[in-house]
Amino acid sequence: MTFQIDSGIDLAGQEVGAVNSADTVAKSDKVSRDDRKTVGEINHPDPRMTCRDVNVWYGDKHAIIDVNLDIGKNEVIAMIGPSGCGKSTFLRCLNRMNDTIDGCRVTGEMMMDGNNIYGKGMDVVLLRAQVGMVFQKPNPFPKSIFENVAYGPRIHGLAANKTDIEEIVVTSLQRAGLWDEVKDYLEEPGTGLSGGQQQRLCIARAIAVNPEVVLMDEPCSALDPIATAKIEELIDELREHYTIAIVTHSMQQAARVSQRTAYFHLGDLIEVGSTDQVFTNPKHQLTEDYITGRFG
Amino acid sequence: MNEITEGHTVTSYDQEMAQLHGNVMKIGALVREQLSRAIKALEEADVAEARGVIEKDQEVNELDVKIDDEVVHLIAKRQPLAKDLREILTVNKIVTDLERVGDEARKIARLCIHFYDNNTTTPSEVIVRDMVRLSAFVDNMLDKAIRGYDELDIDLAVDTIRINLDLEAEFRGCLRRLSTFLMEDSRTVGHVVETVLGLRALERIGGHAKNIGGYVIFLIRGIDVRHESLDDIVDELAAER
Repeated sequence: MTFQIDSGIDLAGQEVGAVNSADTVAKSDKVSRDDRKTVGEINHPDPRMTCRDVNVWYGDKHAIIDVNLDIGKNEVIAMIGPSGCGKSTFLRCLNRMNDTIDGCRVTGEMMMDGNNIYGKGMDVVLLRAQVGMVFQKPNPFPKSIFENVAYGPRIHGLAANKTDIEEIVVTSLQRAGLWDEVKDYLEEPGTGLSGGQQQRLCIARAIAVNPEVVLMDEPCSALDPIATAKIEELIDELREHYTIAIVTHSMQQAARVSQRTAYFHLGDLIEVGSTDQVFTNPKHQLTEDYITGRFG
Repeated sequence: MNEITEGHTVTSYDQEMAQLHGNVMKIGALVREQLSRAIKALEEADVAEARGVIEKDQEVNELDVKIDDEVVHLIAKRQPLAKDLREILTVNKIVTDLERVGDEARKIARLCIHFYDNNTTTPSEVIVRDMVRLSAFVDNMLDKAIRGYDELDIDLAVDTIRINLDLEAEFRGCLRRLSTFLMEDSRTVGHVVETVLGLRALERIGGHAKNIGGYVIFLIRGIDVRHESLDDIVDELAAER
């Protein structure tokens, strides 16, 4: 099989050409290519993002192989799979975070509201405001709680005056479920908060710039169960305003917070379906083996 | 043992699933034995054997509680998903039905004691004959249902549901014959009423076997067919293939 480079950008400045993927994949797994075609409904009736024929390479390594997937408006989609399956790579493609990695090359089409996010003329800074990201480890700026949230709207020019900024900060902290805990300490450093609070501060920071999509890369893996529960509750509330794509290693978390689940395996999107279906009656043997702990 | 009890990366999970599976097979064998003994006691007017059946029902109850306990621990410890989840949910339901099969066997044993452990007249052989025949019918259903679970055999499960339709027809036939018997000699009314209850117990055992057949289909295919007709089940399974 040969992949035709479509609107791909060679992010490392390398010449982009046709790539034969079959050899790379055949060596990496005993499961045949035919057995790794995506099972389930990749389309969404009301998509926020539409990904077609997405391929990602890190140098020679073919990390994402021909992935097609819609991400619906106001849905939480969970991406699961073993380490190295490409779920985080795919997530990071959704706001071009992979642009920062040397040797990373992305091809295919990733559309958001009719625009190819890898198209020429796409303002990456603006894109990352529209598609915000929350990371595994909370990473507040070494600034006050207020400034952590106010920084984004200010540099993106979303507020005309101090009152606007204050309003955005309050609303964002409220939506992130943090307001009641920090309203009297807004000038204290964000790094002084607990891990769970810091992660909610990072979520407040992400939503302060009014994104359409929030990407979460294992947002609870560094948190205790109570902080995790608060984040999960928050994810469910945020769904009212945003589309959320979450990568998680916790199957139970994926089952709890998402409406759709996508299972990745060695760079392939193996199965996508309603979370209820994927966790009770998966259609693909690889999905079944993974979620039941039968992965050798 | 089958594919559901094997293959976990955590081998203790395999062992716990295998133990659960083994206990279901054990309670299945136990209630079939209870039914067989109750019917034999009835055929041979063996009151002591009937009392033995009633005593042994306690073993069925204890095994039922033990399996429920294993189910709770497996859910809490392993948070099962997909076929593991279906297996555990299915076991929970199968065991409830099997325990009730044990209760019905006990009712038949009690019927035997009523018939033969007093100074009144014993029932006509004709009255008891239908119960013996019907018991072979439902034992066949139990066998298929339990083997369907053990071997993950969807055909056996569907067969169980199919045979239940024949069982219902047989049951109605038995009631008609008893009515005729009663019309011929109204003095048998006491025995006839008790026999109706015995036949009803057997018919219920068939119902439990049919339920297990439905659970097995859910276990294998993940579709719930409990309240569907046989034709709908067959169509749905064909469409799912």
